[in-house]
Amino acid sequence: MLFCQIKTNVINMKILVVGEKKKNVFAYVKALREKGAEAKYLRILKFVLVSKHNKSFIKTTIGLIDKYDAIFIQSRTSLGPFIEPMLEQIEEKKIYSNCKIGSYYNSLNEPLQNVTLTTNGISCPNSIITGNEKNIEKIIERLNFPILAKSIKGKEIQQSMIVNTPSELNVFIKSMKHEMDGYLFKEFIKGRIISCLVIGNKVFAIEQTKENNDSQKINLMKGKTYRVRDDEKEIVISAANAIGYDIAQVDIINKKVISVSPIIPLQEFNKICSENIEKYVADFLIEKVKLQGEKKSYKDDLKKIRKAFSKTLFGRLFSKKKKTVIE
Amino acid sequence: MSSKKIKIEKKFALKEKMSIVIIGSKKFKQSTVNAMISEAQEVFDKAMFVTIDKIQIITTEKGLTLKYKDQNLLTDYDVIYPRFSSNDFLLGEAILKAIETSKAYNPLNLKSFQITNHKYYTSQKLSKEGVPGILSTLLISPKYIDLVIKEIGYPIVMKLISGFAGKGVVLVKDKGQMNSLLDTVHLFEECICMQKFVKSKNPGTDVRCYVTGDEVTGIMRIAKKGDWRSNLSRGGSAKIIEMTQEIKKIALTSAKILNMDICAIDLMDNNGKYVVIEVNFMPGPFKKYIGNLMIKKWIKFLYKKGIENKKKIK
Repeated sequence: MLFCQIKTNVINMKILVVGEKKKNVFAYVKALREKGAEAKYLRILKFVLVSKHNKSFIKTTIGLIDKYDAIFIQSRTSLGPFIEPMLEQIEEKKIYSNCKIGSYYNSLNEPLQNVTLTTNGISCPNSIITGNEKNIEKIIERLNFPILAKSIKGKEIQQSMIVNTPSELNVFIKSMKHEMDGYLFKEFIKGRIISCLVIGNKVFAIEQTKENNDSQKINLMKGKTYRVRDDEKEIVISAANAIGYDIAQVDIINKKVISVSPIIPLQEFNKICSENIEKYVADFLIEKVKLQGEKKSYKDDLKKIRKAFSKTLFGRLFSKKKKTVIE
Repeated sequence: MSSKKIKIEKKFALKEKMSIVIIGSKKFKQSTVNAMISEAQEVFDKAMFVTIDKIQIITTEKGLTLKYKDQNLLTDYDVIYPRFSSNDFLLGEAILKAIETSKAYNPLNLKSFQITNHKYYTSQKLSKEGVPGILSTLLISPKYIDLVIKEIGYPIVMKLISGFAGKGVVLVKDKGQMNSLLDTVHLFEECICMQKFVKSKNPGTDVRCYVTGDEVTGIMRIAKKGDWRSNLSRGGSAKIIEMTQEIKKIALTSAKILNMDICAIDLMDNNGKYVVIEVNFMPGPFKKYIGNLMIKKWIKFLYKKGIENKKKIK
């Protein structure tokens, strides 16, 4: 309060929006600027991570990112191996981000996402993950048909198919041209998928108009706005947080979570829900920066008092060793 | 009955019944597995080896199970020792996350698996805490290579982030070589790790430090003639060495930062100072050169920690 400038004043806030295509995310930059924040867009390809002895930093074509108060990331999960170490640096610099460390790995790996949600008490379709297709009929006795079967090779899901009988499942397994590293079998739940957009404690939702009889593909533009119930709201917010996101799309069916993703389909949600989602996102980011600023301020004040004291006669007499000033 | 006999019987009666399951890669070395199980059976009451592909991870409303035949590995064992590689990354992550819910002792964890399977991430994590390492960078687009060259300069070592046993590593001497390689590498991987080439006092040699709890065993690896990579799988050789305090400290600190009770830290001499080049989640025990030395150490350590853990839970 005494020495440092607390970021409660929006005009002092610097927020970086990181994405892959400008047209997909520039609405957020605009919304932040309208609220008075200094917002900038930068393509994730323009980032380079550097690690030296005792120091690591994020280098971009516009310089270092240290001056930013928040970084809003909207990149695909396959960039997880790049984004994860980047998130660690962002957190170290006490910059707010909508994604926590580990979130992108959780999203990139569907079996891991499944296990993470289950261990956090979040209801998902019953599933079995296995590396071996031998005795598959016996293995999947624990599940009810229809089953969504997925094959895994390396770090990716190769193929997926809904199977209704054990013989269809065998056909799926035998259709694999190469040896797979694993399989994910999930009970396929029929019903209407609800796609929820979680922004902190706010949830916007789109419900599919038709039941998903043969596919888990969602076409948001063919959905209708949906008012989530309290229990559904709790489920989707918990799911987003369990995976590591403050802002995420969470799809549910009959109150079971089927996927969590960091990318917001902005256009679709704006159209169907008749909202300006980017303004809610902007409000959320600004609020987070304010909260972060308040937490930082007293610590910064103590450091500055200590520094000032160490320069006095008493400070020199009583201090045990010199400390370098933290930048 | 003699007093010595009574003491032995008492000790036996007090001995905790301990069990271990070792989860290995789909493609494993039979001789190593045989040696591990043999040593484990000397110490544990029940020892089992199972490959990762034979385990089923079952998630239901009731919770999570790690099933192998009729056993739930999360509850039926006192010690779970995961020994799988980056080849098993997708399943491995899910299994390690599941193991976190178990009360069994596990010397490794999900985070350490994710970090050690990522060359740049390992470097960043360690260097942040002051562990001497190699100047490293990570980028997505070859278009912005100049940002990297400004930091590192040539020659550069280009690595696939999850390469192992010396695979996926290329030495790039100049811009001409870089341009032709970059486009090729980028076809296979979205992220490219580039590191400064370490000029070693003894080229083609490095030190592998096996960390087992607070103990460090040092092995010097010597590259095959003509190869700058010292991996034994590429035809190099190895011998046990006496380590300096500097090397021991680096190895123990690195293992602690990554929260790993069993691992191997590879170091190289960079103009008289040792730097970490790699951390191994699943180190090979170098049986050909040091016999069952490391396997015995690992098993004894796992037994000891398993007992301590079991007492804590009680």
